[in-house]
Amino acid sequence: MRALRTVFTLMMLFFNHVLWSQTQVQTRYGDRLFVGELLLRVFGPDCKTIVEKEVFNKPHIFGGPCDPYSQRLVKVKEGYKTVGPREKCSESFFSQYRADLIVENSPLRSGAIAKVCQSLSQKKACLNHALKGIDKEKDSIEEIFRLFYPIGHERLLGEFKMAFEDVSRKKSIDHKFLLKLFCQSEEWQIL
Amino acid sequence: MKKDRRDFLHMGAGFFAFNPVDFLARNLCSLSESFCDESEGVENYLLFHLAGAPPRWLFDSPLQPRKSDKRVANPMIVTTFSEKEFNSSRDVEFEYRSTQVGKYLMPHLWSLPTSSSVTYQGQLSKLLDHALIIRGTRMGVDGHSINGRRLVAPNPNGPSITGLLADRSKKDLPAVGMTGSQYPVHVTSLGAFRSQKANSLILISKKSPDYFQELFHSFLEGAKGSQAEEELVEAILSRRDILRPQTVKARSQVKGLLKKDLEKLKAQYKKRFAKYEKIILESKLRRDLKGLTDKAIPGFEKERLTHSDQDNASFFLLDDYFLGDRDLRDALLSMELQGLAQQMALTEFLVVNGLSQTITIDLANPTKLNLDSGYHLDDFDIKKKSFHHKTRQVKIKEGKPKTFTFDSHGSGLIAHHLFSGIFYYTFANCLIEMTETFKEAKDKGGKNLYQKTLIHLASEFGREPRPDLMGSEHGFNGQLNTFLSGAIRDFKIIGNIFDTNKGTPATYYDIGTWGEGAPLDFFKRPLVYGNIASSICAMLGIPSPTPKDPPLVKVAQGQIETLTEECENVIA
Repeated sequence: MRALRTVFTLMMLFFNHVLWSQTQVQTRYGDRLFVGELLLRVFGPDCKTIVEKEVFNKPHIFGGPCDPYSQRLVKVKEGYKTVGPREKCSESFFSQYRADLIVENSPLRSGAIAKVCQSLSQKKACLNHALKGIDKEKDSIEEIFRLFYPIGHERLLGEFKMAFEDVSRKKSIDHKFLLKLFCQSEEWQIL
Repeated sequence: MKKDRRDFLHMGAGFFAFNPVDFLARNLCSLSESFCDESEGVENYLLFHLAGAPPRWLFDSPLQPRKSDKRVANPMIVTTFSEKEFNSSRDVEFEYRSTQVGKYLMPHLWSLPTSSSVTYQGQLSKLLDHALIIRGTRMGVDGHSINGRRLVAPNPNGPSITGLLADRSKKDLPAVGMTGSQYPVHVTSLGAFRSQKANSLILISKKSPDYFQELFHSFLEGAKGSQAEEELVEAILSRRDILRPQTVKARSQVKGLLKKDLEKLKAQYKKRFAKYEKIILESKLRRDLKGLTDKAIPGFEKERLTHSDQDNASFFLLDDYFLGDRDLRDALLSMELQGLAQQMALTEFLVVNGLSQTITIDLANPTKLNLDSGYHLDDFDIKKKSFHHKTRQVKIKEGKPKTFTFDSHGSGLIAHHLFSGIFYYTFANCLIEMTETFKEAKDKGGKNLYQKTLIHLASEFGREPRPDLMGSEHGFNGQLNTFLSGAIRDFKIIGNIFDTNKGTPATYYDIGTWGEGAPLDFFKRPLVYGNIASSICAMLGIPSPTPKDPPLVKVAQGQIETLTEECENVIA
């Protein structure tokens, strides 16, 4: 009887293990339009050139084909003019048109995010726009965090705060650093 | 009894909560790699996808591997120009000639000498020293897209072979792909990449002027913060529970890449690129390749031919034109194999430096052929096989007419033989250079990189010759796979084909031996692609996405061995 019980338990454990190991949650990352728009919203229109170069023009890293239907021809004096978010389709139109809808995370994506965040946080105009309205004297961790994570992510915020408590004893953390850190944290790209 | 049941439930709940089997399975791997070493297999997988499925009769498709095999000739299936001089277009003739490679007869091309800039000097057949050709796979359905995707993802609901490898990879770049053909990514093997652990295929576009720059752009240039600041960012972001595991993995791979001296690696890449550029240039311009470029090949000369002589006009067809230039070899002067040098250089670079182990290369067909004039197809009466007497030569338009499309429905014998022949010659030279480089690179255990690498040459399907000699159609029941690896002991051909096709689904019937798959005694049925996928997985030591289709090979003591020796031309 005892042996039977043990066999039954082991069988249940085995099935549990099989089912557990087959269950997976696929993480979906936002495409270049999602990532680029968010960065432009945070860092402002003056940073368009950097975002365009590092994000909008990299459909192979971030995914997101250009949408020809988002553009339309409008009659002007000299003929016709394309109106719409042209910058997202203009360069190498066909490769962007054929880009994947969804691209998962990769070292290239991580590298590109690290690079664009670094470039943006070193440009004064971008930095000023991002930190506009944030009191320099105050501890504004949450305010800066919310630039990238507008809603939810309470657990992540809590984890960051705990991390700051540990490191702030050794080093001072300024707003510029926080901005760069949250930008590089990458999780905001997840849909 | 009551107490026992409660105990049992407690114990069960406890086990379920902690899930010790899962815990052990997950953590033993991190304790020691030997617990997770799934099986011995080769490490690197390089798939060269000949997208468009060019005819491979003159390259790696052995239609008569032994003298005793019955081969029913078809005038469209040839391996050399005939030996006599061609004084006019009416003299142009072809032959099916073979050369002995190991214990098999292979197409004549393998007897040609290697290009002078290749490290190894000798015959092309050197590449087949460690090779396995599996012929006669029946794909069952037609179509470039479906069969192209099946090359890596044979099970539409499962992961791709490339995805499975990327999931297992500990390299900085889990999977890399390079576009090349005219097909959009989603209809080739590149688009079929599917991982189970959120890995993605890093794609390099054929339009990129510098593949290295495109791949490492984010790591090569750009603003950098102070070291102290970078360290602090890293200290915070590497804390447990802040980022999810796949983000942590990607970041650690970035760190790994940043640690490398990329500027030095860039110089190394450029050197490799220059080497392949030289090989390609030299290979395409050679004028001494017996049976291929060793004599002038006159274009079609309608004016000099009598009405009945125009029968062989079909030889000269390339899409909409019957080629009429004085010497058709001149078409090769400006021929471009877009991206090939960069593809070969980057593949070699990534493997030698241990940066990636899964690379998919989508090869481009020859373009920018130096073709000047010809006769337009519209002026040709296909029924009468002749031109109208007033027809004159016209200029060949720029663009597609100057391209040899691998999907060669409308390419006559000369285009089939000359343009695909020179492509294969060039490609084989590049492969020899790459395999020789791999042989030179040794690991700590003295094993060379070639023994740890599997090179797979594949296309969506084979090709059936058109009876009118004006091209070839999709031979979807005669797909061919060639594997090159130092782990393959010697040269072997397996797989049965019919001597001609009778009564099976095909575009044309009774057109001779072209490679249509015939049943194997080993399976009591013909090969299907699931068998090939399982064989690839067996060689790589990963679980097959098509486990119901058994493999044709096994790996024993680091050597790839075939489970069957069958290689027959079955009489239909």
